Formats: sequence, structure tokens, C-alpha cells
Amino acid sequence: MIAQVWKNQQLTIKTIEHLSMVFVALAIIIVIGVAIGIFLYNKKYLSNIVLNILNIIETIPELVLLVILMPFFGIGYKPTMIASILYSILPVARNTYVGLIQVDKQYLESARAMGLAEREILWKIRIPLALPMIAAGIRIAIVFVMGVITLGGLIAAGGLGGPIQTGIHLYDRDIILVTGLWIGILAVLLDSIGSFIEKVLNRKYGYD
Amino acid sequence: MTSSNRFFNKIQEIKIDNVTKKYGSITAVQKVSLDVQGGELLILLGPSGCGKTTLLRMINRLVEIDEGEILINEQNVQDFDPVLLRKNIGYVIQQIGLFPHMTVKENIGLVPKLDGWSEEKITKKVKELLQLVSLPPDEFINRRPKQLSGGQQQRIGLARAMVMNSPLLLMDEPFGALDPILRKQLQEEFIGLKEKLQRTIIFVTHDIEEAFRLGDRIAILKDGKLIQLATKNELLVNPASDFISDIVDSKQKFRHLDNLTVKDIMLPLEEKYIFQLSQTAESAIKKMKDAEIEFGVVLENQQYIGTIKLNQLYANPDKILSKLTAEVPVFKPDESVTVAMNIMKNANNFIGAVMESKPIGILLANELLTKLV
Repeated sequence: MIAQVWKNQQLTIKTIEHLSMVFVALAIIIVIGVAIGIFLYNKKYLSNIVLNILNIIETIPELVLLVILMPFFGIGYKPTMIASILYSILPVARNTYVGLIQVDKQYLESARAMGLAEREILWKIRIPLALPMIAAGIRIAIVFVMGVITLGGLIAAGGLGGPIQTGIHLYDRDIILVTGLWIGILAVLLDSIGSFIEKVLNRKYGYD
Repeated sequence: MTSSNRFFNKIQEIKIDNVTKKYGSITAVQKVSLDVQGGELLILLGPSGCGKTTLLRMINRLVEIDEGEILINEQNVQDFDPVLLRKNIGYVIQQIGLFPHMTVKENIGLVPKLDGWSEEKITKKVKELLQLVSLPPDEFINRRPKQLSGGQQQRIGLARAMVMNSPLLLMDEPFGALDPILRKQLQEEFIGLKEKLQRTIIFVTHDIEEAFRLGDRIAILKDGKLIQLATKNELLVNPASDFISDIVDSKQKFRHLDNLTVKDIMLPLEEKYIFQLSQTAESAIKKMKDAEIEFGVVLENQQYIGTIKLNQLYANPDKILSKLTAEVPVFKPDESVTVAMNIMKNANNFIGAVMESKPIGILLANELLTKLV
């Protein structure tokens, strides 16, 4: 059953497609999310409003977000990627911002006292010490991105969401089960990789 | 640091003139004026909240002055760029603040690196400083802060503060978080270091004993005001107010001295301080690290042999303790403290052992002051 579904639904190629979408989306999310976090750290008065806007985006159900984007970006790859990115920037941006803000005062005081400029403190002290926190945000983003991209199958985005849709339309239990479980396994795998990276960072940059 | 960024090679004088700092309606420091002479160790002493730390932090502009001025070698600190000013002044705090994501070398070498020193020059300087604070460079240079005991961290903190060779050192209760015996040992080492380095040091503490032990002169603050600035003897003999005489307890200071015995003053010998003569130095080092101590008493068949110090063990990790044990004066518990102190002073030792049929305690010279004051 598994081999047949795998072959008929071309799951190897779909998996590659799916993962490449996930990684591209994540890369963009990390760049934008960390940049927003650092920007907000520099302009703290904007942090409330920006994080609230991101929060509002995140409260929109994934399906609705996809639908809202369709008039602007059509169907398929583009709106799915944009939706997954919009949806997952908040945890990365928020964790970056919080990680930078909450660095223990003793480190900041000794850095300042030894004559580091604020910019040097940001890059040499705050960002390294915020890395475990940022990694935790990225882990949340991984789960979100997996979800949105799978849902993108609904609007022909490619990846493993496609076979799921096929299975639903044909009411084919085998396809739904095999593909569904496979996506689940992939999500767990990605999350464990994220968790491993988080642990390594914690060991290197964490406080105790 | 390029030569144009070096503001002073030697401190002639620091003049604190009528300085005030307010936080809202609270006045943390109120019209304080005092002079620090080049080369001296000046203590700022007072209860918590008296403004001593605020005053210290105004010197390197971690706190900005509201009124008055601070002059270093007749130059107003307000005229310097604060970041460059701080590079010219060493600073040590109680929490130490070693960066957890950097090794010992990276911690000490951070500012030199930002200033563009070469890798070899940094390594050389770091090793030199580790040597100075009695940590074997090769063992410690690549460690991370969490692999260090409290005393070792504080030594690295001190090394880090000295890396730019600044002639002025500000210290804010640097030994405050250490256990009493370790604190005494570090104070002891620090006194030696101070003689060697010839720097001007301003040292904040609330510990009267530490103040008397380390300070050339002592400034006592209360409620943001300077009450008295004097040498220790002046404070004892001529306290400016009842507050001072309470602090130094000059009225009754040594009245009971003759009645005290060694037993009253000694610290009981805990298991963690006990080592066996047949042990290797290596195993002793490990035990000291685990117990976070740097000093121990060596026994053989329950009999007292002598004492060992961690930094001596480091120098000879392959030997057994019998080769490394030093003799210190031995006292009976009912001996007079005055006599014991005299013997220790003549032997130039700050530690003594207390014995009955077996060792029962450690006598520390300055514990006497703590108990009396």
C-alpha cells in the first residue's frame, strides 16, 4: 500500500518540492524576522505597534489568509509562500526582540564599563546571548510553515499538500493516510533538528 | 589603544568637587567633595543606599553627574567621550559579569581585539595577566566562565579590568559574593598585587573589615553625604561623629581583647578543608574545585601536618601533598588571642591551625577584627 501510494503520487519529488518550499520560506522568515527584531530593539517605541500588527496577522486563520492573498497573487506557489512567511514572522521577530532586551544587566554593565560602544554591545554581547531565544522562535516558525505550505495544496502550491487534496477528492483512504503520516513524520523530524540546534546554542550562548 | 585615545598614563589626582546626583525626589549623592591621591587605594564605605556605588559610577560616567564636577588630572570627565573614557579606566563589579559565551581569553581580550591588537599580542597579554592573578595560563585560557569557580571568575574579572593597563581601577564590592575564607585569601593576594601594580584604586565596600584591611584611606558615606575621609587610625582615634564611632566601634574596640581565646575567634574545621598527606596534588586540586575552596589543612592519621594552597598545587600537579605542605603556626584553643596574633604576625602568616588532640579549627588573622568590630 505504502509503496503504491508513494509511486502513484510521486511522493519523492513532492517531498523535495515541499521541503525546498519550507526551507526557502524559513530562510526569508529568519532574515526578515531577525531584522525586524533588531530594528525594534533600536526603535523601542515602535515595538508595541509592530508586534501587535504581526500578532493580528497571526490570529487570522491560515485558510482565510490564503484566500485573502489570492486576488493579489493568484493561486499556487506565490500566495502560499507569502502566507507562510507573513504567518511565521511574529515568533521570530518577537523572540529576537525579547532576547535582545532581556540580556542580564551584569553583562551589559561590564560591557559598558569596559568601554564598548552601544553598537559593539549589540553585536558582541546582546545578539550572541539572544541566539537561544531566537532559535526557539525559529522552531515555532518551522511548525507554522509546515502547516501553511501543506494547506497550500488546496490552491495548487505544489509539495505534499497536493496528494492530500487528491486523496480527499477521490476519498482515497490510503493516499490520505500515507501522505498525512509522512507529513507528520517530516514535521517531527524538522522540529527535532530545530530542538537540537536550540540545545547546542543554549550550551554555547546560554547563561548557565 | 592608539596613543591619542590614552587620556592618562598616571593618575596625579582625582578631584570630586561638590557632586550631586538625584533620582527623581531621591538624592543619591549630595554635594560630595573629596580628593583621591595618585597611587592610593581609597575606600568608599557605607551602608547600602548610601550613594557609594553611584559616586563610583560617576567617575567613569556610567552615571551622569547632575551638579558639580569630577576632574582626573585636572581634566573634567565631562570633556571626554564616555566610551573612550571607560577604556581608560578599569572596572570590576561584584557579579563579575564575565560573558558566558566567550572563553577566558575572549573575555579578557575583547577590548584589545576591538582596538585591533594582533592575535599574538592578545594571547601574550592574556597569559601575562593570568599569571598575575595566580591562574596557570595554559589550563585556564580556553575555559568558559561556567567552568570556573567563584574565586577564579573574580580573578579573571580583575585580569579583564587590567588588560588596557589603565592607571585607575574602580572596584565595586569585588569580593562581596565569595565565601569568607576565599574572600580573605583573595584580599591577601590583592594586597600583594596592589603593591606590584602601583595603580590608583577606588574601592567600594560595606564591609568595615575589608575597608580596614585594604584601604590607604577610607571615605565613609551616609545618606549620600560624605561623613569623614581619613586613614584607619584617624577613624579609630578621631571619629567625626557618633555614626563613625558606631561603625568603627572605637569606644569599645579592644576592651575585650585580653579576655578572648583562640577558640572564640577560630573558624571550625569543616570536612571540605581536610586533605590527606598521601593524596596527589591532582586529586587535591579536584577536591578544592568541587568544594570551591582554595586552601586546605593536611592530615596524616588524624594528625595535623600543615596547610596547602591551591595556587601552589597548580604549580606542581604531579607531586604528592607531602612535598607541598607548608607549616603554619599551631595554637591551642584556650591560648590568648593576643599572643596568637603576635606569633602569626612574626611568622608573617595570616592563617594558623588550632589543635586539641586533633585539628579542630582555622585561625585567620583578620577574623579577629570581624568578631570585635
